[in-house]
Amino acid sequence: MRNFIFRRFIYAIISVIAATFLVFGLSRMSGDPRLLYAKPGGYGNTEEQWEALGKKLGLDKPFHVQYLMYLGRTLKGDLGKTLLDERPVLDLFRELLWSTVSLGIISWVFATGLGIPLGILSAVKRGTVWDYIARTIALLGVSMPTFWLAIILILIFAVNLGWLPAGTRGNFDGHWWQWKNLSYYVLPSFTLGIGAAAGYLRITRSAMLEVLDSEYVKLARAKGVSNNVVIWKHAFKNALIPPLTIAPLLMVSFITGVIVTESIFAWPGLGRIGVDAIGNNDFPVLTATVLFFAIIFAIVNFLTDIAYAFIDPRIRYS
Amino acid sequence: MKNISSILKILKLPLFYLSEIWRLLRRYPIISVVLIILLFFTGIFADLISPHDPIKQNLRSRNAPGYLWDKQWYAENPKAPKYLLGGDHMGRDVLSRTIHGARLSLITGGTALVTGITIGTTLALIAGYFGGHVDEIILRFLDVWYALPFLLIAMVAVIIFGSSFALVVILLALVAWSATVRNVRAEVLTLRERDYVLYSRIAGASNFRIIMTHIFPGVINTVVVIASLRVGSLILSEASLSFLGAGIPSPTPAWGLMISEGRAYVDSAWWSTVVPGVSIMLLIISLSFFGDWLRDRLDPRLTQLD
Repeated sequence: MRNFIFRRFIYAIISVIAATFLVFGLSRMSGDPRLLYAKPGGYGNTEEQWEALGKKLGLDKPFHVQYLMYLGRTLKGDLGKTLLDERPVLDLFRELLWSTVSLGIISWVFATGLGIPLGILSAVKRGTVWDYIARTIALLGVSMPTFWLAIILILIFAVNLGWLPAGTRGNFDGHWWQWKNLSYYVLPSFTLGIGAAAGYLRITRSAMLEVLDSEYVKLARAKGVSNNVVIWKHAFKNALIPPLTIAPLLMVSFITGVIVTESIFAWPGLGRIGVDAIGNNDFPVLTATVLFFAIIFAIVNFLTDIAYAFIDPRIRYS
Repeated sequence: MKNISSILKILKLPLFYLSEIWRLLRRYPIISVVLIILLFFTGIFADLISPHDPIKQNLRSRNAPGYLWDKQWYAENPKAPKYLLGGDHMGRDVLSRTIHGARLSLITGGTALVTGITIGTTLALIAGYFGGHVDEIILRFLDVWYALPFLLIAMVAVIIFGSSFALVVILLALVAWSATVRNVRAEVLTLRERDYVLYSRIAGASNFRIIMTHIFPGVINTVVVIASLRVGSLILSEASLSFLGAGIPSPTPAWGLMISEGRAYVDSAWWSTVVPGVSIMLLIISLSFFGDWLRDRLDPRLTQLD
């Protein structure tokens, strides 16, 4: 087991390093990175300043040295300064981190809270109205583009009905549990969570159907065990394994979703500054955002693997 | 019910047909296939079908309502061209743009899918057949690949190389390839141990020949099923990219771009976002029904796959 965890940990680190390498490589492939900072021959740009900038960025050194320098700086927590207003990127991230993470957590709670129970309900009451309702939700959740859903929700609940605020995170003063703060979370977390909920629903449903059809459940039924006990004690636990394994896959769509959702709802978070950075050609912010999401993903992936190995011992030995 | 039975009477059909039709619809994805074929043909013949030029702007029809539901407006503005589903913020025909958007979605989605699946299947065949270090390297590479935040990297690439059709297809293909590898490889692992593969090796067949003529035909079902299940999410990714401004450059009518452009006017001109949005949804739902059906037919073991 220790060996397994260690190996998984190494893979997680390699993933993160690969992500940084890719982004760094892309940034250098694009030509002279100084062009992102200043145009040659622009106002007040002398030849010396141009050279000095090159030296500061380490352009006189070979590519791998530049990359290692970048990696070293990143490890020390120096993510550089934003090009737009010369703030340290790390400060910006500290400021916005909680806003993105809280949105992610609320959406995830919503997704599991809706998806897994509905998936079980849909499997247990197969072929009834409940099953059809659940499957319709799953279908809509999978097929609706996040950005489109967000716009429609804003149109209905913010513009026409006026029930909920349509963007930003509000002032966020007072206690976090007050409705004036939480109401800002409703639409974004629904938008973000519904796709994942649909994923959970589908996978829980098919897992539950498979388990309910298995021999040991049939045996339990034949022994005369009551329906509730069969479902909750015998079937439920095993049916939870597949939903657990798709966590990394959902995380991928979650990260994409965060980026899209935040930029639609003007949410002050890391996904939105990533998109903004693209508009501003702000490379330090962009690389830092990619790094952040790669790390989050690697952590989730790692934890899933370990949780999976604890639940299902067969994994460890394969 | 009364209506339906009276229609049936006119058509001289017994009520029995209705349940028969319902049974067929439940068993086969007829509606989905019809929708997919319909979109396919509108895509191919976009130039012939679309009533107006999708890029031509008309100041009179800026955010004009659709002729279908607001004839009043067209009576008041007789000079505005008749846009069935309304005009967008630049006075372009939403219907024509949606039709051309179908072409674009299908071409990008299709090209990316074929490229990606080809790469993925080749790698899976190599990994599964040769095993050992090659297998290990490919699988580890796959693990790392999964962990990359695709959308951001795609956007970085778009800034650097400038947005173009080719770049979008390449980026989508880079997403698509990873989906096939694991399942196809597992399939190859079992096929490789079969007796007929052993015999052909004894007969002196080369590795290439064994893979192509003896193993590849055995995994085609899996590949087709995965491809059909993946194409929807690829089209969604393409739409997300163009929504964020990192897709195929304007004014080419892409669905994601149309939604993003219509977003600012959604409270006064809902049609320019709703029409392309519903189109995406219908396409994805149809593809997903069709993919599910195909999977149940060809490879029921992939039920766990989403």
